[in-house]
Amino acid sequence: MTTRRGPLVALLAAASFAAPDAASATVRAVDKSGADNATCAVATPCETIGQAVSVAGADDIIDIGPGS
Amino acid sequence: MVADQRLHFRGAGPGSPDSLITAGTTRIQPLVDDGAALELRAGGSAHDLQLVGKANASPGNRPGLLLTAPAAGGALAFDIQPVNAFGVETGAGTRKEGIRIDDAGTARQLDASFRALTLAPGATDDGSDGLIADGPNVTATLDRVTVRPLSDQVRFPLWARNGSALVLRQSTMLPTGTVNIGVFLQDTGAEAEIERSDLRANGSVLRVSNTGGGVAHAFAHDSVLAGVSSAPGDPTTVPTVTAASFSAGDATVSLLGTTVASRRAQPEGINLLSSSVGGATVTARNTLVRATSTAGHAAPDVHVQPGNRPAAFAAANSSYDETVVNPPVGGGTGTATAPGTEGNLSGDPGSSTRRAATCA
Repeated sequence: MTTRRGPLVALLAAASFAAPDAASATVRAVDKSGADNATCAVATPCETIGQAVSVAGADDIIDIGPGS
Repeated sequence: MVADQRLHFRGAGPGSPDSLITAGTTRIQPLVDDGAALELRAGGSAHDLQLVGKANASPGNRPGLLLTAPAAGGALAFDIQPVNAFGVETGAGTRKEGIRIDDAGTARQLDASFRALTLAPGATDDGSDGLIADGPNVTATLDRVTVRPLSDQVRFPLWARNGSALVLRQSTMLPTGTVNIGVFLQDTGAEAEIERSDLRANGSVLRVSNTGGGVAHAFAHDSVLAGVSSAPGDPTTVPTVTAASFSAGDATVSLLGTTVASRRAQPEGINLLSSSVGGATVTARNTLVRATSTAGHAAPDVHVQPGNRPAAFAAANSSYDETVVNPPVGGGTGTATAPGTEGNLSGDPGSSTRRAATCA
């Protein structure tokens, strides 16, 4: 890669920062059978993605079950 | 769904462009709001999701996935893996892309990585674009991505605007549907690197078109760029690769170890078009260029059309046969390395018709 943005390795390194830190990330769960609550924990999933996003902190994982 | 902080969305599966509603798929589509299905504004990731934009009455772009930065700041990174993202019709005359990476005018550095996914423009509407990168510091890196147009009116499956960059690695574009331009680099500073990729399109494959100043540039190596037409009687001349300048900037293409093929009624392998104030240059090394007419028409491998600025095709250790250099429209010059010189082969290499020699 010879673009003005630098070597591709730099891009790949930057992209790696897009991945969550598995050790510190909190998982917020969403499932159609759930009910919105204050934590959206895996054991008590929320019903809506919006609620999970609203209670999440930076770098949290929003785990969404199947459905539409 | 808008994420104003860096989050990581994980679904159960992206489904298939051929069947949007399938068991085991996580599909996000706004029910009321008019906008992208998922908009990441602070970096983050999306995996195993199907994202469908929501179209209300107002015209505008409604991508499935929008990666953006609403304010100035540091670099943002996005990681996107198996995701099917579709834009949806928003009114007559509008376009709808599946994925958009857009700095929203902030000039912020956005690095978006797409891995092992399928882009299927036209899956939900004709006229769609696939992926648009927009901004001078926006880079979209596609690694093992398949682009599969699904309608006969797809415009640009991959489009770099306003100085953005595309990187394609081991990626594939299939000649399904019909496209205007498979990979379109537009505007000053736009650039692309195409590495070990196989890009085939029913239409033009690669166009570098500089409508501003500076340079727009594409580099393809160890790749196949093939333009075909499923309509043998189509009278339209469609180059597989074009370097075109329309304003003060230059358009350049570098080809290394690459095959450029054009097969249609009115084929052209490579077209160079300079303007009154911008040049066009294509360099080729260890590259094969071949145009074949399916209707007995002229089939230039290289066509040079100079304006007031130079238009130059320079090749070494490559194979091509027919070059056409038009008289300049203005004061420019048009040049093409003659076949058979500079280590180039002329004539048909016969790679498709001759049997390889058998070793005893």
